[in-house]
Amino acid sequence: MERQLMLALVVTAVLAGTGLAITRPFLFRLGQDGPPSASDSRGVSYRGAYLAGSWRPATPSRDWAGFQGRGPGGAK
Amino acid sequence: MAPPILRSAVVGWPLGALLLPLLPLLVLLLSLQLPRERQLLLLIGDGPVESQPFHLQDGWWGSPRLDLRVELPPNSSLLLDVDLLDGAGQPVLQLSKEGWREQGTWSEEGESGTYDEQDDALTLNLRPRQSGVYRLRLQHQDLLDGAGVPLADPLQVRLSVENHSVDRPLLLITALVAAVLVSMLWRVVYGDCRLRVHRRSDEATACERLILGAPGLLRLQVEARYEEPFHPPAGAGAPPDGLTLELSLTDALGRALLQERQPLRLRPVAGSDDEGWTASARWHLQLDEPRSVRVRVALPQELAKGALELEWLDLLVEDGVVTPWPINARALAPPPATQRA
Repeated sequence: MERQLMLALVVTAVLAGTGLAITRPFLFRLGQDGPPSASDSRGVSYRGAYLAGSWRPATPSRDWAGFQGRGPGGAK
Repeated sequence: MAPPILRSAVVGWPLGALLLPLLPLLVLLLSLQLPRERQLLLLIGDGPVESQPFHLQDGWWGSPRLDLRVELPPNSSLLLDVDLLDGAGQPVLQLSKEGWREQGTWSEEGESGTYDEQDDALTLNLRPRQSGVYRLRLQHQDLLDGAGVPLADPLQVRLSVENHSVDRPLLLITALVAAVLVSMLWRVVYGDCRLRVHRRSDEATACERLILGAPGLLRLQVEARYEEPFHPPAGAGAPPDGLTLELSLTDALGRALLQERQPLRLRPVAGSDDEGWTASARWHLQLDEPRSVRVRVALPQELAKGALELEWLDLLVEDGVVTPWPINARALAPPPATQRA
């Protein structure tokens, strides 16, 4: 009994692992909402994200209007 | 004469299970053989450069994989903007990759050498929304040397596109897990014999009466160890090359099932604190039916007039042994009774 169970376990593991490795069902697809997770490399940053199926580039924030640092008036 | 080959104790189907761990490795090997498109891009100045159009295929057999490698000058860093454009020239993915390369020498505890380390590669595994033609647009920013001074060197970027990439780590893990499970399966099938007796004694004769004969083969294993005595007797000779083992198997009525004298080779073994000599033998036998069997093994207590004396004698008897392939085994049956007039 345990022999058949072990054999079934091996066959299932091989078929599931090989099938998932070939079909890759969880891989990022272009147009898929959310941040991409497609890169296997380090030092990568995405300049945008998918929203409602279309790529929306991120606008670089170089606007300093919202910066409220401590100016001389804040010194006590 | 060698005993005949018996096939009745052969269980061969686990042999086929050995092929299962090879399946993921075969897929991996096949995927590495598939053709891939290669391009060489040259980045000069700050302007963007577009690659030649390449095809990205959507389907169940693997997924597209893009590999970029920048050939950076020594001791430099850069920020590379990568845009993936569809057939209409619209960006469908935009990212930036930080790259660097450091070259130098090291010295530590009197030893020294050179090193050349870099992070200059980018790999993208993704699926296109639909199969079609795509391009890459590359532009580098901030190509700086080690002191932070901008460099104007032209950069070579190697692009490789393959459309049927598979998950290589998952294939390797699958092969490893399958190999472990198959080894467990082999233990379950071929290690599932009945241990009837395993004893070690310092006597030169081992004798056991056992009920033997489970389906499969009967395995007898004998191992002996000899050592030099502390005080070798006068006239002791040199250790011999071999010795003679006596084996006899008799049934409940005392009829001989097997009786033989087998020469064994004596092998020197160097231990951590003392040295010795060992001899071993193994038999595969098959009983015609379950029966009470008396197993007797005898070895010389001393060898070469006391040059070596027996340290221990180890006897292992198992039955119900099955094998993956046919092996030499001797069929045991009592001699036919003689008819009296």
